[in-house]
Order: sequence, then C-alpha cells, then structure tokens
Amino acid sequence: MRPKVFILFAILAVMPLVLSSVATPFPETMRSFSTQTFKPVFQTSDFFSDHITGIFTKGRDLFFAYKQNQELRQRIASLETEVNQLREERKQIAGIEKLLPFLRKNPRTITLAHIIFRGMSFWEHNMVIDKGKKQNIQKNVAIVTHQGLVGRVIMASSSASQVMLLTDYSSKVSVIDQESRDIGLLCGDGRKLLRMTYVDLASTIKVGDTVVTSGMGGIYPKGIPVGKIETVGTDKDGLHLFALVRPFVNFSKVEEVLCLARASGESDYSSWS
Amino acid sequence: MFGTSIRRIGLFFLVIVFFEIFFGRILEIFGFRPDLFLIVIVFWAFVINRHTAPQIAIVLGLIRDFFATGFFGAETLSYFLCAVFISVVSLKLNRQNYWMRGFTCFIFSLLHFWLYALIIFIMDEAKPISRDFWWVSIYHSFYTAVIATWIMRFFERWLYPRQSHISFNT
Repeated sequence: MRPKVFILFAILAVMPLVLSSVATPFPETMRSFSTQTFKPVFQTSDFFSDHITGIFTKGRDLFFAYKQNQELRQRIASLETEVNQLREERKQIAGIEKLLPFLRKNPRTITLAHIIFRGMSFWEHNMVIDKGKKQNIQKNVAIVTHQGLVGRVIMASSSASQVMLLTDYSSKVSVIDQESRDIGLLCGDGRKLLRMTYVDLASTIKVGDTVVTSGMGGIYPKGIPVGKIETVGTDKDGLHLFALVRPFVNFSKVEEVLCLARASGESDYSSWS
Repeated sequence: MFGTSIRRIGLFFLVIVFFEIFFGRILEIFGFRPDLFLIVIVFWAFVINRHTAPQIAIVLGLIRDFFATGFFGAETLSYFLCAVFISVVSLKLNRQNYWMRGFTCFIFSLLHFWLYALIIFIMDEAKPISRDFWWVSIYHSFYTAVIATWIMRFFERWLYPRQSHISFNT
C-alpha cells in the first residue's frame, strides 16, 4: 500500500471517532436509524436465535445437571445440619432462660452445667455433668433446674462431676410440706415416685401438697421445690405416715442444670430465697 | 483481482455481516462469542489480499459501530490498526497452516480487545477497565481462535472451490 493511500485510509479510520467526539448527536442518529430500519430483521433473528440457543442452553443445562444436582444436594445437607444446630441452640437458650429466676435469686453460687452422660444402670440413678473442680464444683453440691431439685454431686473430678439423682436408692433428702410444715425424709427407690417417710402420724399432709427441701443436713438449701404428693398412707410399723411424691423434674429430659456450689468459707446454705 | 468472482465475494460479505449482526448470538457460549469480523480480516490478509485488509477492516468496523452501543468509531479504528499489523506480519507467517491462522486470530483478537479498551479509556474516562477484563479478553480471543481454525477452511472452500486458485499473494 502506498503511503498516501495508507494515510487516506488512516484518516478514514479515525474520522468516525473524531466525528463522534465532536458531534455527539451524529452517531446516535445513525444508530437509531439503523436500529429502526433493521427492527423487523432484529425481531426475526432474535426469534430464531432464541430457539437455536435455547437448544444449546438446554443441552448444556442437561450436561451440567448431574453436577449441579450433586452440589445442591450437598448444600441442602449442609443447610439441614445448620438448621438442626440452630434448633438445638434455640432449645438450649429457652432452657437457660427458664433458669434465670434461679440465677437472679442466688447469683454467687450458681454454675450452669450440661449433662454429658446419663447412667444406664437400673440400680444407680445418676448422670455426669460437664463441670468439675475447676469450676468450683465439689462433692455434695446441690443440683437443680428451674423446675426443682435434681440431686447432688457425689464425685467431682477436674472438669466433670457425677450427680446422684433423687430417684437413686441411696438418695435421702430432708423435705418439708409447704402447706402443713410437716417434715419428712424423702428417699429414692429406683422408681419414678419418691417415698417421703418418717412423717408424724399427727401431721396434716395431703395429696396435692408441694414438698420442698427443709435445709436440714447442710447439703440442700432450704426451699427448693421437689415435687407434689400423690399418695398418703401409714407406714408398716404404724408409727409414721408416708407419702409418695412425684418429682417436678423429669430426669430423663433434663439437659442443663444449675450447680449450687458453696461460696468459699461458707459452711452451709442460709436460705434458698 | 481476488482469484475468485466478485459476486462470490459480495455474497460472502453479505452472509458474514448478516450472520454476525443478526445471528452471532447463536455461537455464544458462557457469554463469549467469536469475533467473526476479525476472523474475516485475518482470512482476507492471509488468503485473499493483504494490501486491502485495512480497507476491509474499516468497512467491517463501521458496520459494527453502527450496530454497537459503545463509543462510535472505536471499533473502526481498532480493526483498522489490527488489519495494518496483520498485513505487515502476514508475509512472515506460514499462511497455509490452519493452526497458525488460529494463533494469529488469537493474538489479533487480544490486540483488538486491548486497543478498543485503550481507545475507550482515552475517549471516555467514565468507563474504567474492570479487573476481569484481562481474563475476559483471553477467553474471548481463545474462543475466536478455536472458531477461526475451523471456519477458515469453510471460507476457503466457499471462495475457492478449486484449491489451485489460491495464490497466497505477496
């Protein structure tokens, strides 16, 4: 190509650019004209292009469908796990919220613990909590929930403790009838109902009364709700009355408990309230 | 002049322009479509007449500018500069090799992309070059090169049904 011709074409190539920067409406007018003129062709071609690309797109989607399906399944599984975790956390928070009144009443000695193991022996009704000596949990610390008394710690290691439930054969708690103020000893016998014994024959305990801890013995603070009397009768020796008490706490459904640890230097609980 | 009939060449251009403007979307994959005009320019410079490649580039660039929405004239100038480079280097390349043609298309598609971006950047500062620009230009050019290696055989058979007519002008 000769230089003159080349320069001519170079000017021709630059011209539209210069024209559009100097006279802005020009390219817009030209483009709107071309768009208007070729509108029917655009519409027709668009229609055909849509159909043809649609075939490719469907084929491509089908090709990737398996992989996408796998990815979506994984995502669903991951989301389901997340949802389950959130549900679990919500339940835990709801349980902890119910325990708040206890926390407000006795803030200095309370430690929240989660149950990490439940005893499966018929003879021993116990559970293991995730707090131990590191969290100031010692032997004979009372264990409660927002519903009432659960039991006491019988063995504490550094970061876990074993709790004896009220239903255990060895469990004995001094209790008092909230209405009649009669005192008795609540013993576990491996069943759902607890046996309140050594109740004075002249006492006026009756079915439906609430039983709370008496505070005697120095292990359990006074006034912790324990259960409701379901049956009242006379002992075999004929010297005392007995009562069968249904505990407020459903031991098989407890998830979080409060450990009522003694404050350092304190020998006994003064009051529950 | 071109080793083939003018009527055939005219029909060739008409079909190419019509296809690129109205049906180019058919070849679109993942948002990338081959630059058929650039393939034609490379083909023209390699097979038909390298001296007239810049003129063809101006015509095709103007057509594209009319139907594009970008800065008017940018495509024309960019195509023209590419065509000038192609016409210069085409002599030193093995123009019969289809892979070489594809590779040339890749290089000049990249060059066209970057020249266009440069022109836009100079003329219209409000349009900054995105971070993905470099990757997009490479993907786009690669796709153009893949299509070019295949479609140039078709062009050749169409314009030169008898292979002996190809002169590979100097």
